[in-house]
Amino acid sequence: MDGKKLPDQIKKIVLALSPELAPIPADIDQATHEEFVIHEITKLIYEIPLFFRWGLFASLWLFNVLPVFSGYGFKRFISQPADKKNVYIRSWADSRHAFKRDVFKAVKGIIALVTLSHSVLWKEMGYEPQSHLEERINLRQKIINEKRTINNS
Amino acid sequence: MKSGQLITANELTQNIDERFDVCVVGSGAGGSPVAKELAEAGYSVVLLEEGGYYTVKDFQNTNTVDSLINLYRDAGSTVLVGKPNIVYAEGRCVGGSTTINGGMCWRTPDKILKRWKWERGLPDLTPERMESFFKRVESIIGVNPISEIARNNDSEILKRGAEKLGYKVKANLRNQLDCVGANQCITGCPTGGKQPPLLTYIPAFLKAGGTLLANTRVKQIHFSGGSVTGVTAHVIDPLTKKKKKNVRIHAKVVVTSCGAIQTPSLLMRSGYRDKAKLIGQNLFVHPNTKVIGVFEDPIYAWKGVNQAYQITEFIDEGIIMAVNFVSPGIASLAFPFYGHKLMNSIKDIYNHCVLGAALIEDTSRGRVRNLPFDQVLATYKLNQRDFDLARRATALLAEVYFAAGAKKVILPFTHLSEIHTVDEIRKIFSYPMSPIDIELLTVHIMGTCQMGANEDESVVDPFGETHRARGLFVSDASVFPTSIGVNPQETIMALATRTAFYIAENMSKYSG
Repeated sequence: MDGKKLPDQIKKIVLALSPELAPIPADIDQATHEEFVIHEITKLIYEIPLFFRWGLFASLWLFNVLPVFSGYGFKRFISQPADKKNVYIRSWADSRHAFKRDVFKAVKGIIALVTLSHSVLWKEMGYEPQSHLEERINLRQKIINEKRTINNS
Repeated sequence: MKSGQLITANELTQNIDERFDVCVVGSGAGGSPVAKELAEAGYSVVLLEEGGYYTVKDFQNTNTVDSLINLYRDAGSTVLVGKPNIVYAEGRCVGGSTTINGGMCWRTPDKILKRWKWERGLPDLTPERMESFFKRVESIIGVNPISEIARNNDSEILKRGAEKLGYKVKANLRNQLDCVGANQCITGCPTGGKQPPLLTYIPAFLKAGGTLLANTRVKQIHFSGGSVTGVTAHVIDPLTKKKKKNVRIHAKVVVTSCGAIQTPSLLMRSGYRDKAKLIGQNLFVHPNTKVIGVFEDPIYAWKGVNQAYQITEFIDEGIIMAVNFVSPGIASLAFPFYGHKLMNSIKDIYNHCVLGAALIEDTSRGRVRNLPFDQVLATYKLNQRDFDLARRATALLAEVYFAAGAKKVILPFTHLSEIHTVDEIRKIFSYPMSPIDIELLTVHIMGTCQMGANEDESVVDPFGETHRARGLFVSDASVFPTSIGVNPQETIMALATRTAFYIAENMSKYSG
């Protein structure tokens, strides 16, 4: 990725949010999955235009510190226990402020997109794109060969 | 540079400063037909494409994130800012959005051509006069019905539900040759079944001696004495995103085909000003509502082609409906849930659901503006009429799902995410909602350099030439004066072909 890295604070917030927004089954190696999530999210975020990227980082920072100022405890989000995290996340998801709802949707979208693009999750949901693709590539080749045979004869 | 060459950033070792008859900016539905037709007419043509070059083999990877990064502008995170914000998808690769679209082919509806003729002074745009252009495009990209082998359960469910309600259903025509329904259209067809410009116009362009420079972003168009003289561009390293080399093209004809966001952006930052001050205005987008139907029986909607059918019963109202399945990562964006509810929903219903969308022929308008540091801002305000139409379209699609046997329908409204019976459709209208409460997306961006006979009401003339710069043409969906209500790629290609023929017939005017 040519040296691109998420700022440390942003990485911590993403890793704290990921299991809340898109939790994975317990039998999947969490450390490997976290590494995948950070790697893929970093790739994605550095494709976003500069203004929006800064906006996203600022929004995540705000999300992390706001509990202290909005009656959701005395700790930042990343330091909160799971039940309190849940309540706080819901306050953004269902907020009457469009800004908070939009930030929530954007962050949830990125985390869910990356999580569900991890192929380790696909077998359990019955999604097998590789075998389907191989089958379809072979099928098309078969059709083309049959047409060629008919044309030659 | 040698003619008939495709050059990417990795292959370029020096700056370029060359002269061509024609420079085309953008290799999508608008640019590749112009480039190909003019190259075959014997002119020297260079085609500059901002995105990278990818082949059918490259599309055989199933990594969704890499596909978004390689093929979509800003990895698919592009947004129309407004109430609500609307995510839009724009291809950035050789072939542009045609490389990532579903391949639906519609001729411009007669009622739209008539409207353009009467309201915009475009008498040549009649079905009869456009017939030869449509036919030419259709033969080049292979517009064909979808075969039985490629069809899929989700489209059959849509058809079944629609037929039960007595709604008209159209079997779609797509640009395809022996499509076998791999259903990865939106990340590039991995079998070669879909026949976008990447596999049709671009190879023909190169064979005719055209030169294609990928990873090349045009920074500015140059003018002198009321005529275009060429462009300056940067070759961008796809990994570092840094400028690698400079490109200076001298040409008496420049055709911008960057799409309805980037074309007006390029014209404005190049200092081009139209008399009517319409560049960047009149943005319309065919907003889509997304509606998910959940069924008891397994469907496996990811096996088989997308959008085999469209419901056209309500096309005169401005509504078309279809289904289009995607990989789990992208599908998750359509679910309003999060946490365990999201993950369990996806696990339980991914193979039991149908992802549909209703497209709206919009009357709302937006605008494109340039910001500092080479950024672009697109805004769009959904009006009450279009919001009401989107609500109605959502209700109609939910009704179709229930008629087909759905046990649950997931909706795109902030405060109403699920209904379980057809009677509950009433809630879509009885719950208090405003435009900000609906989630929309779009893949059709149009109208920002509208075409017309009168310079006071348009940016380009009836053949796509700007009114104030000789030799500067626009050839993409930004020339549409109004929304067209159907998938636009064939209209764009037909108009592009027409523009190319006009340029070829009048080349002495520019090269003299």
